[in-house]
Amino acid sequence: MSGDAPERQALVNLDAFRHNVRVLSSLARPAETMLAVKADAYGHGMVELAFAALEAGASSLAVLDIPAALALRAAGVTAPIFAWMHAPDADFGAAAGADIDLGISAEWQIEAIAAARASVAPRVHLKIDTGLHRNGASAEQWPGLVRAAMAADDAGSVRLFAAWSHLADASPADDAVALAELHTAVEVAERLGARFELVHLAASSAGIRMPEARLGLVRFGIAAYGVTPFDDESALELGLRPVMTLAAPVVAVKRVAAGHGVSYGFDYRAPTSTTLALVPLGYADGIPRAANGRGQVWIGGRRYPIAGRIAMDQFVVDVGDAAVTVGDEVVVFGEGREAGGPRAVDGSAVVPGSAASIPTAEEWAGWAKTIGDEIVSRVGPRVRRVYVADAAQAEGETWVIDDPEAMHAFGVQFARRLGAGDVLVLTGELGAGKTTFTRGLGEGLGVRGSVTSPTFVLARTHPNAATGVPLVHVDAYRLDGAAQLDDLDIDFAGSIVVVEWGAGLVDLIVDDYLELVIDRPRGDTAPGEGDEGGDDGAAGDGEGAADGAAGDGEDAADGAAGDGEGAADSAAGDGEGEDIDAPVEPRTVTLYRRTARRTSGGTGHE
Amino acid sequence: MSGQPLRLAAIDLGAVRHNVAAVKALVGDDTQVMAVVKANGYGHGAVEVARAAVSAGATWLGVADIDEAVRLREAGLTEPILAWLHGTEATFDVALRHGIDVGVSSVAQLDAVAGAAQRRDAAAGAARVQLKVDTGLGRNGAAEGQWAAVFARAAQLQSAGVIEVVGLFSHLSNANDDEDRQQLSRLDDAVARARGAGLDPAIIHLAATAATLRLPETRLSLVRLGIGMYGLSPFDDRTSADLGLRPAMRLEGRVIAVKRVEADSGVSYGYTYRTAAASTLALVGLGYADGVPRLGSNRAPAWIDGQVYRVSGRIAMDQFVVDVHDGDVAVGDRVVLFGDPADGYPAVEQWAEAAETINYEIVTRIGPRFERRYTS
Repeated sequence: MSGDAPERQALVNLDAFRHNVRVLSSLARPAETMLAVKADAYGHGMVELAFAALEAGASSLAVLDIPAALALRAAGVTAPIFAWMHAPDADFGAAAGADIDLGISAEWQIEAIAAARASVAPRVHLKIDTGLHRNGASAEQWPGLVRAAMAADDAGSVRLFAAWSHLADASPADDAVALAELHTAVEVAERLGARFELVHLAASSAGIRMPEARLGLVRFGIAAYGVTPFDDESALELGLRPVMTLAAPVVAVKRVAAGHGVSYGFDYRAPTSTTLALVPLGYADGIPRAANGRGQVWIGGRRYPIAGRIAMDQFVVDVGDAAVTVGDEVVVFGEGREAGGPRAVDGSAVVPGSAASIPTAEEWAGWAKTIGDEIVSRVGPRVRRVYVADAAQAEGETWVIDDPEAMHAFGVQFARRLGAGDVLVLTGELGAGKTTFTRGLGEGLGVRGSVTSPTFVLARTHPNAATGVPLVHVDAYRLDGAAQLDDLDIDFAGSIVVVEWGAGLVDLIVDDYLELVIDRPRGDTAPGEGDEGGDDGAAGDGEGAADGAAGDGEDAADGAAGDGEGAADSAAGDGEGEDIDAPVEPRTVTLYRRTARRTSGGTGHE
Repeated sequence: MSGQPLRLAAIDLGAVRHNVAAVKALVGDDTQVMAVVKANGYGHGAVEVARAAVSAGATWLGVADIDEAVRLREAGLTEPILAWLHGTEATFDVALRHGIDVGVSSVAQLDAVAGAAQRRDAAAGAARVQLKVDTGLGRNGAAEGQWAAVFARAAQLQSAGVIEVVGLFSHLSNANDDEDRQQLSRLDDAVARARGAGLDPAIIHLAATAATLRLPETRLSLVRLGIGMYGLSPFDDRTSADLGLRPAMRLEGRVIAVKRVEADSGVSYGYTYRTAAASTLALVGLGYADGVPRLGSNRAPAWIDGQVYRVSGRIAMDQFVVDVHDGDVAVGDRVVLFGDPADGYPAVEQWAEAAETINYEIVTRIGPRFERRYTS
């Protein structure tokens, strides 16, 4: 980098991405989340996004082919990696050696794996074509493929693991037919003696709108990048944040008279005397020329039209009489530099699509007659990917919490910040310390009954005799969606509500809330280890089970009644020294003040 | 099949040399040819194309920005290089260190170049600058109202021995011949005014490929050869062959799966294509992440084994389907999206039309997963 070239930047906000992964993975739960990072993570950068996805709740990754999977392994990813498009001369031996899960569509691929004679038998996911007519065995080929895989499994060259397919998203009826065909294929295989540990079908669209297609695992892709898979609902409406912001500075401005032509062919002529701003991004950088005459960009708080044709390296913006100067940042699409997007003077989020809002990749897709996937994945190589996080704002405070005692004490202290009507979402993986925090919070608030994980009661109300403001502790882990959260009839206005696993749900019910994100400091553990490692695996498995046991005991001991569903406990809790949700290593805790960005009152998902 | 990558951009450097030589012959000895290799040589590979162009008679190299210029220098290219699109914080130290001519559009940029020149060893001499004037395109280049100030400051810095103004240039809109001639006359005016201010730029240039071919009076001392060097036509109504040019890029994928389906089978997302009869579908491992534009869905051509078919259904991120009807197609077969029509391949212009754009955008935006292989 010479420092002399135009500053073309794709800001990739990893906090926004992690938010989306959390939202989607909580929506899919109990289905696992596989995050697609193919095509260099849709143009965002494969390695960085892969680690962020695993931090935020994805348990596996999907790439297109074996070389990409090997690149992820080389970067240190230890989580399962799935690759399914294979060249005729694909290196299956290397894939097996790197423990790559392989999608298999044809018998020749089974044979090629056997021929590679790897020392490890790779897990294979057999693909059935359920109507898309791309990859995948046809119904006629399926029994042969299953038999070949079973024989190879017996011979020790593969491990038969999963059956899967991919939807056409043509219509709900077509997708229902495809799901039925997948079930039929699984039955056919089982009659042949095959056993699958996993069946998967849904990508982003079905993962969000077709719960019956989630099965054991959802392969989320585009939605995690903050781009909608739908044409009738935006990512913002889905509670997702744009991850990529494409920006460059104005490199020249000039005042021209009415009638002045602009760019090739003079398709545009200034209607009045006006100011033209030159932006050093062109179609070589991914600004689609098909958006000529329609594209808009955002400069200093408002949108302006692109004037004239988009060229290879640059385009011109007609900024009218605005005081735009060289160096002003031009945002083509995305969230911008402010977490949650630009805000109006009163602090509220600007209305999506309005003149004050930054265009989305989805809007650019409309202008260029394509889909947002193509807009983000084709941002060009001269654009530098810059990885950013939400800026530390006034409310973006961060704490480092060393151990369970400190987490408890932090909860006690934090109680002073909360009052009736406050909603606090706790976000962090299993074992992050959410329940320990809440126990401290309960103590600080002086509520009755000791706080434990409410996993099996969904919500537990702890009355507060002193203030009359109860603490309502919700575990959204097993909620099916916002509607079910709504059904709990929580008195949000009169309570302090703490919601574990609430990202992506709460913002559909309330307008403003606080979110505490509990993370391991980066670099503290090998990335990916969190989902696989002994400690956390045990903790993860244990939370449900151990809490179940604890919960049973507590329910029996419950004396004082709360809401009758999850009574406030009077006993237990204190004695359980071993809380499996206790943080066993330092955590970073960050507080965000969130504003829901709904455009309508609907819950949206189903 | 072996050795053939899944995604291949085959670049014929012989075609590049042919095209450069043809244009060089057209413009004659008095006009130099600048090979424009910005945006990674319009997707063809900047370094390889630059070397081929130089071997065929190009004496200048042109790029958009200084990063691109430095890459050419680091690859060992020693010809003069002009770069004209700069960042707002550009100091030009790197440009000067690498002996890159800086295209300058404002007094502020002149001052920045002067600053870099003064920071370096005096023995390095004056910084080479080419002044860019806007003669109507409304993009870069000093607006007419700024000419006097730019020329005056340039003359002042030149007489102080800090910079040397070696060139003066502008860029055409190609709106029509009349507009282009008006721009030429404004450039003549700018040259006169620069001389009046005490400057004497040796290299005056205006024409890119289109004007080079169509308006001989715009050729001046140098022409900037971009799209034509890659063998593609800048005109709607003239083909490469009409212009005596040979397309340098052939874009290939491979069939990665073949299946026989019944009549009325839906294909790809949204089932926007349905087979008319029982048919064979070939899956090709190329998608829009590779630069195959999604707007080409159901419209663009694909050549397989000597037959030209049509993309069937939506182009996805990594793959598309071709209905080959009863064609005999097998896994591993080459699929040519476009190449030289003289060899029987579809023209890139067919892809451009299908994607509602121009040939420039198709070749420039091929994706990073393509392997480029060079032949002579």
